[in-house]
Amino acid sequence: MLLVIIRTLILYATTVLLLRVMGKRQIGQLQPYELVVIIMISELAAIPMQNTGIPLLSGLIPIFILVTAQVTLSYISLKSERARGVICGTPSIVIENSRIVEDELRRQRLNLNDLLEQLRLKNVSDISDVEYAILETSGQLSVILKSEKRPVEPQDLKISPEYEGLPITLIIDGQVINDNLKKVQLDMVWLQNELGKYGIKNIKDVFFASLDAHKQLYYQLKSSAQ
Amino acid sequence: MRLLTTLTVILALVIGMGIWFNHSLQTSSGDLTRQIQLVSSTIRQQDWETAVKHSEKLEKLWEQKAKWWPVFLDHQEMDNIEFSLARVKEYVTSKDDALSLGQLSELKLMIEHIPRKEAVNLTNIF
Repeated sequence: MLLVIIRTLILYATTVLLLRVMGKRQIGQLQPYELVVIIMISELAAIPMQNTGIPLLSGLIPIFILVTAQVTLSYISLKSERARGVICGTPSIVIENSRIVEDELRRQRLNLNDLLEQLRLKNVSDISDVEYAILETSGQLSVILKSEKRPVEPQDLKISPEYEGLPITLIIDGQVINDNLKKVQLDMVWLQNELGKYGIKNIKDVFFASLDAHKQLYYQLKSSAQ
Repeated sequence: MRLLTTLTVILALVIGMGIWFNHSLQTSSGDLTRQIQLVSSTIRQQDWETAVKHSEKLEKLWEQKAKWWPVFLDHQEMDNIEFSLARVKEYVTSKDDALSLGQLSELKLMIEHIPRKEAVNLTNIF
């Protein structure tokens, strides 16, 4: 029993570590060759977990080899456009100037109902509004609407909105994030002074605090400190 | 690129370990097979005292040579060899030549089968 626990933990830790090595992109949008790796890894990790008769290395080595192959393919597809086309495939235009490209649809074995469903998921109900619809290599549909059907943007109205920037998190659960504080060229003294203005004496009482581009501090106290 | 280099180095180490393992498996299995043949020939000569000594040496040799085998090989296969070794020891001690020789022959096949199963060849790949 203990053996199973130890083996499971080793396999879990290794799989998580190796999936991290594969990169962030893989989890969000899997390419076909990445999906294959994920399915195979899950199976390879599960077998030695259940069966203690199988050496742990029989699961770990293939997982490592798969990750190495996947990372190598990623590098190759990064460096070579031609290889990318072979490994990942190329995007396909399925709607061009509001006209469905029948041949492409047939080639991708995508039926009209699926296409309409994907368009509806993108809040497009009328094909005549679509300038281009592109079936991406990840299987997702990108829709580019005709210019007159696009949502209005500040640029269209000739408005220049104020710069918003990215709010920087300074405190999480009473812990000051010093790296972020340094990034905005501020220090603990400033933070304590700023919190002092709101009557907060102890940083540990702050549940969350962030600073926007205009140096405005937003904070929320822990429920126990309120 | 650093990641790819690290993975390539580890891969090279794994491949190196695989080659070393196959080579060691071949050598260890050869040593064990020779010892089995020695036990068999002494049994055929009805020299039971020497046969007992050789079978004990075979057991020690197995413990020494195959202690790391379960790291790479199916544990069930290792267990089967150990059960067979225990049977050989008992048959030799009780001076039963037919059972001893039969069991030794099975043991030899089981040990020879391991490097054959791990060898890199087309039959094993497919």
